[in-house]
Amino acid sequence: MRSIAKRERGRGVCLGLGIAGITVWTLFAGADAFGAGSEADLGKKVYASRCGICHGDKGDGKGLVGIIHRVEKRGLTWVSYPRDFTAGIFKFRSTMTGELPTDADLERVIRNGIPRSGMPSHIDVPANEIKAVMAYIKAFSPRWKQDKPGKSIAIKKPAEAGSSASAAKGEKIWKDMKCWECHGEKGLGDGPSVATLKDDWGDPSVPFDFTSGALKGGPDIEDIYRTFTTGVDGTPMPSYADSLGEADRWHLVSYSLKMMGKVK
Amino acid sequence: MKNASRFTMGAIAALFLTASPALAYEAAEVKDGGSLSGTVTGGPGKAGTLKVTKNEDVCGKTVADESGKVKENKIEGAVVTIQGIAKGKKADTKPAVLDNAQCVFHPHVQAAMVGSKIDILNSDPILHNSHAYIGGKITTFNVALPTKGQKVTKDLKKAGLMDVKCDAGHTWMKAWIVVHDSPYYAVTDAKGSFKIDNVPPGKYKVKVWHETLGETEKEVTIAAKADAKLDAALKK
Ligand SMILES: [Cu+2]
Repeated sequence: MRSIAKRERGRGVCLGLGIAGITVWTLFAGADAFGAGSEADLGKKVYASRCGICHGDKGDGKGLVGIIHRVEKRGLTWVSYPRDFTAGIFKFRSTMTGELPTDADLERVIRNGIPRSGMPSHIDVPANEIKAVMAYIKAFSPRWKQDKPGKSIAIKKPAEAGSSASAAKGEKIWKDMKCWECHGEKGLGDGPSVATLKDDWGDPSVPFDFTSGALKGGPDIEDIYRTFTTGVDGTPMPSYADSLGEADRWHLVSYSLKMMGKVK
Repeated sequence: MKNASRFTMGAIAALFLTASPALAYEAAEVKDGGSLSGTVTGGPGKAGTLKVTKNEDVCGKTVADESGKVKENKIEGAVVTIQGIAKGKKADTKPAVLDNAQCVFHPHVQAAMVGSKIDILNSDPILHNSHAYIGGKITTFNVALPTKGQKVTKDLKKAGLMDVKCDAGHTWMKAWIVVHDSPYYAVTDAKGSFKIDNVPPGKYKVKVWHETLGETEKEVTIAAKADAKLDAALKK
């Protein structure tokens, strides 16, 4: 099937050369029939075979599999909902709060998957299929036509990030920034606000328990920094980009690592 | 070649997309400007309080319910916007302000021009978390305000109806911001009245919106150097 797609694109190149510079309309039609057309077909096919079962044919997150239940450490149950692409809201972004993610952000999530959720990794999927399915996913929400993706934040890890001295500073910031109101004093996800937390779909939102395992946004120290800085759109987790200086955000990252048992 | 044609497609698409929804507003001197004033009436209103369920020591036991302030049939907090003005008076350059004070957003309803800034303040010694949506669903910003005196400034990038809630467990907190594509807007006062001045003479559509009492659209002709009257009635 993929070889057919390739052949069609080859024809597109020849035809494209033939009609070069005649009229804009011909270019438009030519590209539509042989360039973008085949990518759309490929995206549709990849989506149908790998994504639709959870995210639904219409991209509304209401696939056959539906809500996915998982059991966390210590017996706590939570519920995982496949992303509703029609809303155009994305959790894991390198762009500022309220902005669309970059293609690299989408690709990272598709490739690596999301730990502690039903989203598997897709490292086996060829690059052209990922690109095609990204375009297909974007077509579910009009937001991709109205807004441009934001710019990725710069991430420059300071040498002291992850050290116990930095974690000690982070512990005070954790208190002052009231992170504990949702995530709890010891980061167990059991703060006093938990019962009120809802996501944009009105479903309960469970604050991360730092002692429970893998981070949804990614395993690296830079991933934690990115989440503190850009927030998790669609959930109550805000951006701290404007509320807290860069150095302090890194101390908070260090303290997070400490709660996760990764700093001595 | 494929790249070139894609580029052309992209350029055409970009042209349509940027041109159709909102033309950039242009500030210019308004000659013989007129004004629009009137009263927004209707009901029923809703007086009462909302129960505080967190931080009672700072917030008190209840806060006023501002979602339907109607006195003698006059509606406070309705937003009036004149539609389709692409060129006119200079916009206010002061940022809009949204203050978290005693666990209530101040002001409860306001209007601002797209492209302007908004200062989000915390006047309370507790955590507030201002989470703003545009068009009802899409997060436009979600910022933490953990300390008293904190100020975060954001851009109002997109025109539309914004609503703000607080994700710090203050489920009763709510604010509305009408982000308009020109500086021709007003919010009705306690007597239900409003005035918009310095309007280029012409025939316009005018929208009147209220958070719980609905909206209506009227047509009005504003003559040079004259005050046009527009009274609107809203009903739930
Ligand atoms: Cu609050």
